[in-house]
Amino acid sequence: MLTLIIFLSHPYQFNDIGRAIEATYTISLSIIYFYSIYTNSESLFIEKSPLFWLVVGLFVYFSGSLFSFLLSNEILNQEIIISDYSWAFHNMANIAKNVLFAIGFGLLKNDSPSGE
Amino acid sequence: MILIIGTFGMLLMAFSIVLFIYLYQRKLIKKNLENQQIQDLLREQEMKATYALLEGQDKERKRIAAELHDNLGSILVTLNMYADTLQTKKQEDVPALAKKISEVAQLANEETRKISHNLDSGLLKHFGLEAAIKQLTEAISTARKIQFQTSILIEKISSDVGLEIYRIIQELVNNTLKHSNCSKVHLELSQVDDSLTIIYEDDGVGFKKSEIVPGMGLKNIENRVTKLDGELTIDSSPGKGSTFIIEIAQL
Repeated sequence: MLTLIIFLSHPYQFNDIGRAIEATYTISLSIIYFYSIYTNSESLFIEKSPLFWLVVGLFVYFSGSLFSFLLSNEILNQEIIISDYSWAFHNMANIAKNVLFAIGFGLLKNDSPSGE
Repeated sequence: MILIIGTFGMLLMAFSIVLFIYLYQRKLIKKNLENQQIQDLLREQEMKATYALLEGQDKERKRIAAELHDNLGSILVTLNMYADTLQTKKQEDVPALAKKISEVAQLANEETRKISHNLDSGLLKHFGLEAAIKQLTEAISTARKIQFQTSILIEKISSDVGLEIYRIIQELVNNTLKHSNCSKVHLELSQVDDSLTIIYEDDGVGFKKSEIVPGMGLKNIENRVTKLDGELTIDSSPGKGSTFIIEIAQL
């Protein structure tokens, strides 16, 4: 993985393949997590689990930005205005992720044994 | 263009997966809640049946006590009186008195036999397997909108066996409520001499025998049937309801 990240892209280019692999890897892990919830068939109020929100955050972010990463070098070579608009997808996914993380961490606070 | 389609495609996929997991969990929680309610209902019924049993036993005991006191007691008092008189009577009156004593003793004997006979059959009759089953099915019909059709023809069942049978039926009902999603249940108990046949049918979703999941309670039923030296026949296929036939040859 590290070899890929370091050597597959040109040193002065955006590390597109590295980030795409990262995204795919995280998406796979998230799907494994969802699948484990599905097969576990344990009834729990999933929306109250911080882990769930965090995983959803990562899942949404990397799903939303996978194509931005794949096409990043093309995007960066475009005119500046097109390039900016193209990154908007990535940024929206990022905002969504941050909101989901915030919800997850908020729940984590409620969950803490000290109750503070 | 690829960017837009790809990104939205991925986001759509992410959204649907998350939604699916969320809805699935919801469904699971709802189902568990329903199962919990069924368990509560059955437990409540069981408690009622136990109370009915205890009450029946108590009533029976009181009846026997009353019978002992009123009949046998008074006969024995009479017998005692004659025996006392015998000691003070003259020689020529003795045969007549002895005859009377013999008659009263005969009466006491008969009374004892009657009571012991009552004791033998009365208690069993009072267990009220029939009443317990009817109570169970009625409670479930009202709570779950399932139409129960029962026909119970039993004569004499010992309370141990009765309790086992009640438990088997309870487990069958439990399974029906949890898994079958049915609207009609037919329950038939018929006893001929010493053999008993239980037929339990529902018009629910049915199941494949190869797909029986452990924990369905079937093992439990099987164990009880084996304990009673009976035979369990299951006839079911998906979409065609299920039928359980339990035959106990020697009660």
